Amino acid sequence: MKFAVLRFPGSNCDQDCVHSLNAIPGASADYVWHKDTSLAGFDAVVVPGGFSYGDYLRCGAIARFSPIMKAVQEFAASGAPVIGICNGFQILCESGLLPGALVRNRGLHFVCEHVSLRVERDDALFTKATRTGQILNIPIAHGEGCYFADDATLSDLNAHGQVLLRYCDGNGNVSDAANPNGSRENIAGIRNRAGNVFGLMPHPERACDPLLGSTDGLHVFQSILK
Amino acid sequence: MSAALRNETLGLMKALVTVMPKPSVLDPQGAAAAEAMRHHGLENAGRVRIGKVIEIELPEGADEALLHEISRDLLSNPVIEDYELKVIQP
Repeated sequence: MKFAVLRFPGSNCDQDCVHSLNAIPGASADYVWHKDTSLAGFDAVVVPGGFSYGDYLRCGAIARFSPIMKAVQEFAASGAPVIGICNGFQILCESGLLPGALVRNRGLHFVCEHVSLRVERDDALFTKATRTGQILNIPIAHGEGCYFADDATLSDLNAHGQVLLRYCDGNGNVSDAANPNGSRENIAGIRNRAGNVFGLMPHPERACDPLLGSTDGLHVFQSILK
Repeated sequence: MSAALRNETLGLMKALVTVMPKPSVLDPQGAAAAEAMRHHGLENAGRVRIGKVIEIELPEGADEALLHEISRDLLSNPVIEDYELKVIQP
């Protein structure tokens, strides 16, 4: 499976994504510049983290209008997998591919730490290689990762099983104390209704090698390959 | 030369777009600023909210509908923010 890793001016997790994906048997990855207009030859898209366009206006607000995003919209509409990580999640929300928005962390600080995430369902394209209730140890690194959606959107997300990951404590309890950024209902990752677009604030590509303290990020990518 | 004077001199039309977080969205910056204001002696103030103002020098005959589109789709995010567009005649 060939992954396209998008590159915007200010992306800074693109190399980590390509490195981690190329190390997984059955996966390969290559860069796609934001001014490109085609995703021909690719089976999946990764919108990586970073600070596209310096986070000007809002995180992801300008990247959303990059030429490649039109191709990503069509790619997503065709049912192919699209995963947005951190700034990539923000870009997918800005572009309307995912509901809601990411706003400034409740505590105002940039938070960079390993967190525990509870898998909400294991029958999704992006969690097939996990089991429901499993706790993943994956790092976060963001200043604007507080997931916001209005009440109607939240109940819609829950009704359609679109929440795939929630921040939890080491025992899997989803509590306010385990919420690193003030996200509504501890939401760390959601998918679209069709199930082929996934956005998450944690960085699975930074948890694919024992040297980095965790290999739980592999589960996310292996799910897509499964 | 002040911006206002230059505006008069050149006869430029301007747009001011004010973007504010929706009341239902957390505004931790506003809350922190409110706390600092309390330390400055402003007691019993209500909620403080922080938004932004975008000033645009307009070309002649700028289309107001286009300005609304830009304000809604680019300058603000309707999920979390409201905008107000004011066109200032020279």
